[in-house]
Amino acid sequence: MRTFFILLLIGIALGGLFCMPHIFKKEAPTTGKALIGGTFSSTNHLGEYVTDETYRGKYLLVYFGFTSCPDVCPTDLTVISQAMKLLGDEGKDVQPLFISIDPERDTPAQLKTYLSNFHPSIVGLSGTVEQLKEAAFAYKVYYSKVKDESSAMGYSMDHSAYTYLMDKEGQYITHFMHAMKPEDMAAQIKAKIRKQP
Amino acid sequence: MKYVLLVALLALMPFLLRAESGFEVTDAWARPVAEGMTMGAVFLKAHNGSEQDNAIVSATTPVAETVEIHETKQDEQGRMQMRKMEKLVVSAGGNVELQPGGAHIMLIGVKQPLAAGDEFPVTLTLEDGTSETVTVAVKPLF
Repeated sequence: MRTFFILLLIGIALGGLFCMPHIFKKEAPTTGKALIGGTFSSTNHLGEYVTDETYRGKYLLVYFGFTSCPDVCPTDLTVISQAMKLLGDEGKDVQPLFISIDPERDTPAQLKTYLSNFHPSIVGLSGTVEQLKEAAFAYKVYYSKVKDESSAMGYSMDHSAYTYLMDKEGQYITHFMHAMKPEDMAAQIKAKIRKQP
Repeated sequence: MKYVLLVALLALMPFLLRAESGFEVTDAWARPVAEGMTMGAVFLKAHNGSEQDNAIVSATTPVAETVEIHETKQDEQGRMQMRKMEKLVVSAGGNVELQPGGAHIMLIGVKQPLAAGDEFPVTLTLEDGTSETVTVAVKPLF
């Protein structure tokens, strides 16, 4: 009789568990890994073939822009440059990447020249239109070519202007807004890096 | 005697008109443009001391092929857009500051590298027909 009750209790407990499968999961799916980041392949400003795997073991600061951009991109690249300068030695594991959304105009050589005005740690990435699509899709970055016949520029690129901080495994940690203060970016990077295992 | 006065008045006309335009440009600066790069942006402060609205309608500089007025905007999704402007209005008695994230004088086809510490002239043509030449200082990035 006692055995029967014990079995009954076990049965009720198991049944309950099967009716509430979510209690097996520690967290809801939406709070799992962020959907930002992923695979990409491209050519860096020195003409070398690189992929996301190239940068495993480094924290990444990822920014998407283009070299014909006279205001937004220099503003954010200056913030990244100043933040890298402020980080000093603590920034030795931080790799800033400037990914071109304008591969038609931005050759590796063009990127190299453009980046010569900014912090020497910044690596420029370019590639084919398909390669850019893959990278922008991975980072959920919006970009669009906007033609203007009335302008000598011919076309400009609309784009989102966030800077993503990724961990050493290429997983999203946080992102920074356009034109933020370099001191704030450096402080947040320091704080996030110290928390990492 | 009458003629002398008339001639003197005519000779003074450009100066009188110029004083009347009351348009003042200060703190003009640009970011460096590396060798081989072709795009640049000039930022400045403009004050219209007159009682009439005025506007910057075009500009020229010996350091670039083309100069346009552009504006940076951010839409509600955080996307950055740059668009050409027909003119930049400075209302009567008003001030306009061209700064990063807003409007800028866009240099297209920059002919020579612009390094921090360099200076170059930009001539702004105003809607009232006058023009204003300003010296632009190239500032270091960081």
